[in-house]
Amino acid sequence: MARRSESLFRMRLRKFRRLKRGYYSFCILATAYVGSFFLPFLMNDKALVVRYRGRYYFPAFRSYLHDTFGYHPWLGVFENRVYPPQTFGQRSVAVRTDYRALKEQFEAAGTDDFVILPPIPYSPFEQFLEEEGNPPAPPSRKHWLGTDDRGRDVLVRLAYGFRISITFALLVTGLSYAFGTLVGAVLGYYGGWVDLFGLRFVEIWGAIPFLYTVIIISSLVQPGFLMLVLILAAFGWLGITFYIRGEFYREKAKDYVAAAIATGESNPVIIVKHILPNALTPIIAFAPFAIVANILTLVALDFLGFGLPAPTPSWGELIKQGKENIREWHLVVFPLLAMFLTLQLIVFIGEAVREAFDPKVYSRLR
Amino acid sequence: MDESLDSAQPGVESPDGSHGHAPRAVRRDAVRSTDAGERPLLRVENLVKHFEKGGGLLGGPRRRVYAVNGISLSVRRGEVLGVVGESGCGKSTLGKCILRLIPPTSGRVVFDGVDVTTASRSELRALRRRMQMVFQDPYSSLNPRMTARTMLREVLRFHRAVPRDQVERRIVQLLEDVELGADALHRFPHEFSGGQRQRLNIARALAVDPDFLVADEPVSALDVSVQAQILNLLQDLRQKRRLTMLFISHDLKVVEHFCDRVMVVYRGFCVEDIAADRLYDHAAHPYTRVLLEAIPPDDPCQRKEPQMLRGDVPSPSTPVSGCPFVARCPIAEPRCREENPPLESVGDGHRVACWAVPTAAPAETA
Repeated sequence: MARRSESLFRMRLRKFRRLKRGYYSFCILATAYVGSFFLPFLMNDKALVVRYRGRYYFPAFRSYLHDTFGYHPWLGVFENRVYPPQTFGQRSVAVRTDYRALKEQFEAAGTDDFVILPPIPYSPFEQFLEEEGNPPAPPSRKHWLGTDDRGRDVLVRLAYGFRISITFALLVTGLSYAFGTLVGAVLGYYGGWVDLFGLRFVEIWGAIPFLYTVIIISSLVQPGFLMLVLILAAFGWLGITFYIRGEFYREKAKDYVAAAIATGESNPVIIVKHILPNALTPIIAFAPFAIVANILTLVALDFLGFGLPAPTPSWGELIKQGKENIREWHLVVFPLLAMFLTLQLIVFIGEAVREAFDPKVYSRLR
Repeated sequence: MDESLDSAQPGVESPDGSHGHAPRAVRRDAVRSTDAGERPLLRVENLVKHFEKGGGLLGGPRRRVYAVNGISLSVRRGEVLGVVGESGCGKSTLGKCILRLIPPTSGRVVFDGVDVTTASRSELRALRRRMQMVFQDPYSSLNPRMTARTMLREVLRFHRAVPRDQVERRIVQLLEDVELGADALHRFPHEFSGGQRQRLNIARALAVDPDFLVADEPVSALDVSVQAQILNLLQDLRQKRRLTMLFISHDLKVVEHFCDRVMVVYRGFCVEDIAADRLYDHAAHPYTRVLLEAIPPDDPCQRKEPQMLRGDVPSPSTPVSGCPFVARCPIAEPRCREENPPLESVGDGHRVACWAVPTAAPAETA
C-alpha cells in the first residue's frame, strides 16, 4: 500500500491542527480545563503534605480529624487553631484545621515537622475578614486579585468558576446535542406526518419563554447544578433539531442511502450507521459556539440570581458584585477579563473548526 | 444453517442460474420456475408512480408528478432489458419501484413468483439479496465515511452471504472481480476516481450474488473511455454470473450494444419494445426514429441533417391525454389527441404504441 488512507474526519482534524490560532487556543483551553481538575492541589486551604512527629499526612487527598495536629508537646497543651463551624448552603461543614496557621507554628517551633501548602493556599469559600477595612479588598500581595464582597479570594473563585462554567457548558451542550440529534434524525428521516406533527411540537416547545420558566422553577425549588443543566438542555436541543433534520432530509435523498435500503438494512441502522456520520458536520462546526452560548447563559442566570446556589464560585455572581460595587475596579475588571479570555479562546477554536469542517473542502457536490 | 443450505443446493441448481443459497421462501419458487421453463424472472404489471407535491394540512396547491404511467414489462432469466428515454421520463423511478426503494402508486412487480410490492419484511429481506442496483451517480452512491472494506463487509454480514471467517477473503475477491486491486480495501470514496467508484458500486451490488441487477445509467456520469471499461466489466460479469439485468440508459448506442431487448420510454409510458439487434432497422415508433436519427454518425465528415423535434417535453406534472408524444410527433393525427394508443405487438416480439403503425395479426404475436 502506497500511503495511508484517511477518513474525512481525520483529514479535517489534520486541517484543524494546521490552523495554528485555533489549535493553540484549543491546547491552552484543554490544558486549563484538565488542569482545573487539579485545582484542589493548586488552590486550596488544605495542605498537600504535613510531616508531624515523624509521620506524613496528606490532607488535600484525604481528611483527618481536626485535632490530629492539634497537640503540641513542646507547649504541653492542645492548641487548636480551627475555623469556627460554618454553614455552606444547606449542610454544615465540619470544623477544619487551619493549615496556614499550622505551618507558621511549625516554622516557629523549628522542628523537623513541616507543612507544604498548595501554591495558593486559599479555598474558594474562605472569608478573609481580618484584613483592614470592610471587604471587598483590592489586590494585594496576599490576594492577587483582591477579595470579593464577602472577603473571599477573587482569583481562587475565578479559577473554580472556570471549571464550573466549562463543565456546565459541556454538559448542557452534550445533552442538548444528543437529544436534538435524536429528534432531528427521526423527523428528517421519516418525514411525512412524523415530521409535520413532530416539528409542530418542537415549535410549540420553542415558544415557551426560557427565562420565565427558569425563574418559576427556581422560585419553587433552588435548582442545583444538575437540575440547571437539565433545564438548559431541555431548551437547548431545539436548534440542533432543525440542523439535523435538514441534514437528514438532504442526505436521505442520496443514493448511498438507497443502496443501504436495497441491501435491506433496517431504518435505525441506516439512520445511525449511514446517515448520522454524514449529518454531523454542521453541528460539530457549531459546537464551540454553542458552548460559548451556554457559558454566557450560566453567567447571565447567575448574574440575575437564578443560577447556581449561593456559595458556588461563579463568574456571573462575581460580575454581579462588580456591578454592585462599581468603584471596586478589581471586581469589575477581573471577572470580565476571565470571561472574555475564555470565550475568545473558544471562539478561536470555533473559527478553526468551522474552517476545518468546511463541507466544500475534501468532498464533491455537497 | 449453512449446512442445510448447502444440502439444498443441488436440487435448486437450475440451468437458468438461480443460486442455491437464496433464502427458503424464494428458493421454493426457484424450483418451481425450472418446471415452468419460460416463465420470466421479473414481471412488472401496469406499474404507476405518481408523486404528490405540496398540499398538506392547510390545503394549498397540490401538484402531481406523473413519473410512471402504467408500464408493463417482463424480463426473462439471463436477459438484459434496456430502458431508454430522455431525462425525466421516469426510467429511474421505474427501476427504484421495481426494487421497492420507493413504493409504487399502483401496479404489481412480481419477481420470481413473489410480489415485491406486497412482500412482507422477511420476504423482502430475501428478495433484497436477489435483486440489487447499481446507481447512476458514482459520487453520491457511496457513503463518504466508509472504506471499500467497511462497505462490502456491511453488506456481506447483513445477509450472512458467506461464513464469518471468509468475509475478508470474499471482499478481496469481489474487488478483484471488478478489477480493483487489494490496495482499494482501505480507501475512502473520495480517494477513488469516478470509474473506480462505479466499480465499487458494482462490487457492492454483486456482493450478495444477486440474480437480478438494475443498472441505473451506470456509465452516464463517466467519461467515454471509462464508460467503455465499465461496460466491458458489466458484460464480463453478466456472462460469468449469468445475470439478468434491467439496464437503464439514455444512450441508444450503449443500449443497442449492451442489451438483448430495448424498451423506449416517453413521459412514463412505454412507447416501443424491440429486440436490440432490430432496433436500427425496424424501430417503428416516431419517437424512437427521431432518437435514432439524433445519434451522431461515426464519421464526423459524413454530416446528416437530424430531424429536430418541435418544442420541449411537457412538464411531467401535466396529465397525459391522448398519445403522450402527440405534442411533438411529426406524424400526429387527430385521433392521437383523443386516445392513447395501446402497446401492441407487430410481430417478432416487437411491440409499438402508435396509431400509425399497423398491428400484427394475432397469430404472429410472440
